[in-house]
Amino acid sequence: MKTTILISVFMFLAFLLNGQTATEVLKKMDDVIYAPKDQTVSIKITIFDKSGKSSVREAHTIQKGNDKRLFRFVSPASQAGIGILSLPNDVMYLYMPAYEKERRIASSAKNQGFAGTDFSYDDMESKSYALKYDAISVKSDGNDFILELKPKPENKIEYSKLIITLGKENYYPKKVQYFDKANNQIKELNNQRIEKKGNYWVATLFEMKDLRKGTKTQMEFTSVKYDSGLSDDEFTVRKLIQK
Amino acid sequence: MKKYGLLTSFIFYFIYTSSQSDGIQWKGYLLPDYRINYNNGEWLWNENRLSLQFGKTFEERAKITTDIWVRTLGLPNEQQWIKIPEIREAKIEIFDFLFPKLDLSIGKQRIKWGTADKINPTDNLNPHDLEDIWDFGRHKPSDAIWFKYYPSDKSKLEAVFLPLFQSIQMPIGVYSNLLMPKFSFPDSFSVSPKPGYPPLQLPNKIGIIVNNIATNYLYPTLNIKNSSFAFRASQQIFEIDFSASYNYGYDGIPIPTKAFVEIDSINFLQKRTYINVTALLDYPKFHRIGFDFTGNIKGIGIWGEACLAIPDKNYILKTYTPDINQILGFDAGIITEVPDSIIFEKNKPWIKYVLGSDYTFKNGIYANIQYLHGFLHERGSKELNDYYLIRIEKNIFDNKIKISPISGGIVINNYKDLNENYTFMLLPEFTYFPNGNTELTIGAKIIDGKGQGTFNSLKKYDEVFARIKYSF
Repeated sequence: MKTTILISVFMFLAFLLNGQTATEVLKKMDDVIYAPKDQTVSIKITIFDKSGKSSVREAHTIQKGNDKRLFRFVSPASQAGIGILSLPNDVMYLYMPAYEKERRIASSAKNQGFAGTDFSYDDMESKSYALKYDAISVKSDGNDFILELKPKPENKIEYSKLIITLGKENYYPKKVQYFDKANNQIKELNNQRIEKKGNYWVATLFEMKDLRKGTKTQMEFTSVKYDSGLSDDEFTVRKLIQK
Repeated sequence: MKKYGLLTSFIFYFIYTSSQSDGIQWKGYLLPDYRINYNNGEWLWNENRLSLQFGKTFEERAKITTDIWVRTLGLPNEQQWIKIPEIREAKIEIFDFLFPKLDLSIGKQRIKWGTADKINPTDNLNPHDLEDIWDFGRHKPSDAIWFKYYPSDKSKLEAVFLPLFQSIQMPIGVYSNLLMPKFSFPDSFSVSPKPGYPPLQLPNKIGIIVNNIATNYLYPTLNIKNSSFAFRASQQIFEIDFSASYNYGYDGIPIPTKAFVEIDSINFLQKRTYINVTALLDYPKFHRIGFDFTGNIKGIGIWGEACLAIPDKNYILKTYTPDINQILGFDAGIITEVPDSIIFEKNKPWIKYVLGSDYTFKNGIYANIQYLHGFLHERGSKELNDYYLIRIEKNIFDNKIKISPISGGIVINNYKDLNENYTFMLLPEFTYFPNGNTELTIGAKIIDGKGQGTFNSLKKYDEVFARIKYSF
């Protein structure tokens, strides 16, 4: 009982301090990140190994809402044409040109690195944070909010906690820290270049560090286009195998 | 040999000039593949393959795709290297053909049906390409007209017409006899001393030795009557993808339907008769009804596939024996007859099937298991063996290395006599990715077992191999 009262008092004080609850901040952040109806992006992916040696890949991705995405590698030649279609309810298809047909991917693969990067399939998922996490607390830190999230009980996510640093002026995350079940920080995402493209805020340069492996992956948007009216037909197995 | 050189030069010239044209994209890979028998050091396989692929997309309305293989192939039992420039694929796809969501694909192409991993009982439209017996799932592309219609984003209807018959590509090199149709005498044959007298059953083990077997293939004539067709319907229900298919057409593996026996010589001292056999090999036609599913249950990938094969008629082997009276030089009134052997019966269909599952553990270990009833070349309910297959993989050192220490399976030919009828295969692999476009794989194929199983006969060819693939 005492604990409940203390938490309530703490949350009330936090509300007074920031004027907003953690849930409200989370909602605003989601609203900013997932504001575009659809997006078409070309990405340059640079993967750094432990020794700092890098390899570069290029990809093209289209996304609609927050549960449909088609990602396709453009280079290097060994991976060009490989496509991943993500659909609602954990339905994912992989298309490999050499294999010449689509293949369903078991969702257990989602905990692994996405196409050799330090991002997992979960990290790359376009599902809003509020659908996967509960907001636990928020505090003010100068021009930023520090938001703590924990996975919803029904979602099986490899992380036990996220701490997100987001700007008060635009509610766009600057940094995301990922913690494992033992409460050790295992990954860190830094959105290094946040800019406004048309009506939307977007990180056009961001970097994920895997603190366990000592590796990092940098992604840079080389072109981005919003709200071009992508049809649902673009997110089908038919389109996955056509290209 | 000169004409292959000219053809190869032409292909390179064509690719070069095409690449200069606007919008034509080309890519490919180089694949040297060397295998050696580690028991005796004999080269088993020595292939250098250059795959040249070029294509063009026409504003998302159509696409042309081609794939040409230029190869050198060295085999232990061949006197010279074979050079085979080969068009593996040449097709045009037209999207939204006639009406929206109807796609048409015409040309030499691969039509892959089925959801299982590499070994698909329902993948029967292209004949198997078993040239390399270890390249499971490889098929010969076929001339085909293929319609695909998508009534919704969760359903698909397909219709395929294959105008020309193509036979299977049999294994080559040391594996060349691996899948040859078996020809054997029945346990006994009857001899009637005179017409009207009751026949006398004699066992065939009375010293008959086959000197030579010659085979003549009876290829179906290339006409519309001998074409094949197929249909398939696919639907996603509760996040599981289901498909049902039907096809009617020739099977690419021939069967002996007539055998002509000639006496070569008789050795009275050894009590042996040496014979020559000429076998006529025919291609059977089957109705095939297929079903497959694939999905994801609690993070675990699952799939299953089954194919019911129904012969379109009874296929019988008739054996024609020589006229003993003629051999004796006088009419002794002896008539010999070998009873017919039934190979396939119209009312005795069989089902091949596969069930499989895969899972990626949190530590990155990927596990894939499959149970298969009936391998690619096995036909007839009594010929189908059981295969338990497993593959464990893990990427290490920042995905620079992929190890697959446990890969292979167990083949069971006869559960009642398990100790004498099994094959064990271990196929470990180690792959190194020095850069984004190169992969170097080394591995081994270790086989052991007992009995008459197809794969057991490979145990004298245990091998180590090295393969490099460079994509460009």
